[in-house]
Formats: sequence, structure tokens, C-alpha cells
Amino acid sequence: MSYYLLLSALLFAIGLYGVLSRRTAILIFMSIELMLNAANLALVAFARGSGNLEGQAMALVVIALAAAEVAVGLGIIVAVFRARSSTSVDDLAELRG
Amino acid sequence: MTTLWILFLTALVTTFSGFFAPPRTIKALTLVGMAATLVSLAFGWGETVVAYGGMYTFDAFAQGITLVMVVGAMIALLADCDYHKRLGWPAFEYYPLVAFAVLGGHVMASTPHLGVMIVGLEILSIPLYALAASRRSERGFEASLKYFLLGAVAAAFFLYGIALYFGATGGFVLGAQGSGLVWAAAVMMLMAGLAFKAALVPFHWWTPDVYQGSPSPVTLFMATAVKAAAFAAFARVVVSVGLGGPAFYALAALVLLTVFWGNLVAMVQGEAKRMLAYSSVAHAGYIAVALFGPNPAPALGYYLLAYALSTGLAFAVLAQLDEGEGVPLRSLAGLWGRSPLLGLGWTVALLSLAGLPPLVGFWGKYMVFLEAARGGQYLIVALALFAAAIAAYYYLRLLGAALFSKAEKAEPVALSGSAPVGIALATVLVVLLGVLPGLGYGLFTAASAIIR
Repeated sequence: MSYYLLLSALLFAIGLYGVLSRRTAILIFMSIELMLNAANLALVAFARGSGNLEGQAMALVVIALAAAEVAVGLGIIVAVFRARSSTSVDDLAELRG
Repeated sequence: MTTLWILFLTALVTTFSGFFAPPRTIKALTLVGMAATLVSLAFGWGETVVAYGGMYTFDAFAQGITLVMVVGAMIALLADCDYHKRLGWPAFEYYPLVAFAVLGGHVMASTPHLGVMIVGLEILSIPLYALAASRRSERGFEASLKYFLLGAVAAAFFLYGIALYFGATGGFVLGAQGSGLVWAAAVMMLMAGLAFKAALVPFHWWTPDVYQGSPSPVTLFMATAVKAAAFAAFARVVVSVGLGGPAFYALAALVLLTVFWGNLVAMVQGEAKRMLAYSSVAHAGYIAVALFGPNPAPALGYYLLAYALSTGLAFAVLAQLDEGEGVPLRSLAGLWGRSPLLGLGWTVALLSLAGLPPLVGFWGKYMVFLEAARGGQYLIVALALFAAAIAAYYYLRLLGAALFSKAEKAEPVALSGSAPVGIALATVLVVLLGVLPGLGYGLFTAASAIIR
């Protein structure tokens, strides 16, 4: 089980690194999906290790949540792209103080 | 159960009647739904309802939080009218989205089950991402994208925390205790994910941009209802894991950073919405001070109500002045002369936020500081009080901008629709609950236990 947990922690770290280093909204978003899937992997691994199926059910719920997030998130990214012809987050600097 | 059903049906009915009814009707329907929620809250006040095998636990604490959220949503719905008419986006979707967000916050506040909590968190957050962009301007899109990306990262942290919590305790229900590295990591990640939603420093950096770029009524909703729901979940997590060892220092660091950073940075802002955004960050710190006490629920709920009324009133006034490009301090000039109602509301709101007696904000601060002092955390109370004294500077600056400077354009501010009703109602409540503090605090004394 600990190998799966290690892999899941690694996936989460890669996702977090992607969020911090990428400058395009789409790639940041993909990195976030990686983080969510890392959590899913950890849930399933713990469920297998303890024999408690609640963890697997939770992973299914998370997949549904992630899908709902994608629907709204891609909508926002498309809207931003239409307004500016770019999804680079560095261009989004109108709001500052 | 009635409250959950009413909120759910309000969201559903407003969504589907939007296809044939005009937005005015949808707005009225949403307000009726919120009023019905208040009625059902009043009838079941203080009685704990448990359903779905304990996954839905509507206790006195959750009732207080739901009350705050409904009040925040009602001020947001009442205050928007004129603003929308002037800028021309009376889209009906706005109202169901608000209703769904309140439903999500209600679910999030009334569960000890982490799985249900994150579902509630998403039902709350996803409508807000759309609401932030609802003006369809570049600023709105920027605010919405920032909120969405950072919100999704926070949700991922929270979720990973849940997975680790499951690994450490073998279940999803709060109240279990674990040990070891996995447990410590779980607690930290759960706290970080929720601290983001509650806008505690150093997880606050989205707040000023999102508050400034979103339409003012949406900002109002975020600052009141969303903060209440986030704090409900945060309080449940913190109280259930207990404040021993590292969790105590983590929370103390969060609180002190929040009250000082929020108040200090608010001073140098030149835009009223951004200033109030930092002020809302600072207030999140005061709310969290209550968590150091032995029985934090009543003080926490009462502070949230006091804060929601005051900051809701302040943002409702700004919504009337906002032409879509924010509210620079100079456009507040001569507010009393241009509209006495707005001037009165602005004065009352800022004095209450600054914590001056006899307004409700003073009693809120008094109760949370008293609670922390009961827990023996005198140092934290003293530092937070010091930060509150600093805060008075910029509240008075905002007030001075409205009272003492001459207006460039002296034409009166046009108020129409339901905006005067919302502003007058909030003003009366801030003063009334301030003069009679027992009236407001009495509502929350039943909430004795956050975790049973």
C-alpha cells in the first residue's frame, strides 16, 4: 500500500509544481486535475488497505465533483480567451492595488 | 429537514421558472424562498435534526450559520436592483445561482461528514465562479478565473486532506482522533483548504482581486454568506481535532498574521471595494480568535451575524455607487449630500466594522475576545485588540472621504427598486442589535457544542 501512497504524494507534488510554474490557464487547470486524481488514488489505496469500501465510494463522488468543476472552469477559460485571445495568467493583471 | 428542502426547492424552482418568467419574478421567488427559510429556521430553532445516518446534522450551530447566510443573501438580492438596471444585465441565472450557493453553504455547515462537506463546498463554490463573471466584463472574467483556479487548488488540498484523514482514522466523520505523520498532514491540509475559503492570511491573496473585480452585490454575498459557511466548516474541523500541539501554533499564526496583515495592507488601498476586501480578511482573523475559547460556537456565530450585517450594509452602499469600474475613494465624496440614506448606511456600517459601541460590531468583537480570554489566551487577545485599534484608522478614512470632502459631481445618487429597502433594513438591524445586544446574542446561546 505504501507504494501507492508514495505515488499519490508524488502526483500531488507534480500537480502543485505545475500550478505554481505554468503560466497558461489550461495547463494550470490540468495540474489541478492531477492533484484531484492524486487524492483519488490515495482514497482508493487506503480503502484497499483497510478493507473499508467507503473510500472507493468517495473516489467516485470526487470524479463527479471534478467533472462539475471542469464544466464551469472551461466555460470561464473560454470566456477569458474570447475577451483577450490569450489564456496566459500573466496578462490578467488589471486588478491590483 | 424542512430548511434543506426549502432551500433545495427554491434553487430548483427559480432555475426552471427562469425559462418563461421575467427576471423580476425570479428575484421575487428567490426572496420568498429565503424568507421561507427564515420562517422554518424560526420554528425549529434550537432543535437538532439528524438525518441520513448522521451525515446531515442540523444543530444549533448550523442553524446560526444558516441564518447568517440567508441574511447575507437577502441583503445581496435586495441591494442589486438599481445596479443591474443601470448596467443592463438582469439575467435570471443570477438568482438561482445565489440560491444554489446558499444551499451549498447550508449543506457544508450542517454536516460532520467530510465527504458531504466537500460536496457542499463545491455546490457553494461553483455558482460563485459563475457569479463573479456575471457582469461579462474583462474585470469580471479576470476575477472569476483567479477565483476558480485558486479555489480549485484549495479544493484539491482539502480533498487530499480528506483522503489522509480517511487513512489515519478509517472514516470520514469528524470527531475521530488519529496519530502519526499521516494524521498531522491530514489536519494541516484540511485546515489549509478551509483557511483559503475563509480568507485567512497567508491563504488570502485571491480575496482583494476577486472582491474588486466581481459585481458589488456578488462581492457582498462572498463577504457575508461564503465566509460564514467556510467558518462553519473550519470551526468544526478545528474543534474536532482539538487545539493541542502544532494545531494550536498553526491557528495562532494564522490568526495573528490575518489580523495584522489584513489591517495594515487595507490602509494603503485607494479603492473602497479593495479596502473592504482587506478589512474582510482582517475580520476573518477576529472570528477565528473565538476558536481559542472553551465554547466557541455562540461567540463565533454572533460575530458572523454582526459582521455580515455591517459589511453587507457597506457593500450594499458601494453597489449603488459602483458604475462597473470599482469605487475610488474620491467618488465617495459628499455622500451625505447626494443621498442621506446612503450616507447614514455608510456611517453606521463603518462605525460598526470599526467596533465602536453601541453598534453590533462592538458586541461581536467583545464576545469573541471574551471567549478567547476565557480560554486563557490573553496574549492573542491583546495583539488582536491592538490590530483592531490600527483598523480604526482606515475605517475613519473611508468615513471621512464620505463626510468631509466636497463632491466633484453633486447630483444625487438615484436609488430605485428594492435597494433602499435593503439598506434601510440593514441599518436598522445594525443599530437595533447594537442597542439591544442580548437580542442577537440570545439567538446563538443554544449552540453549545460544535461536535457532539
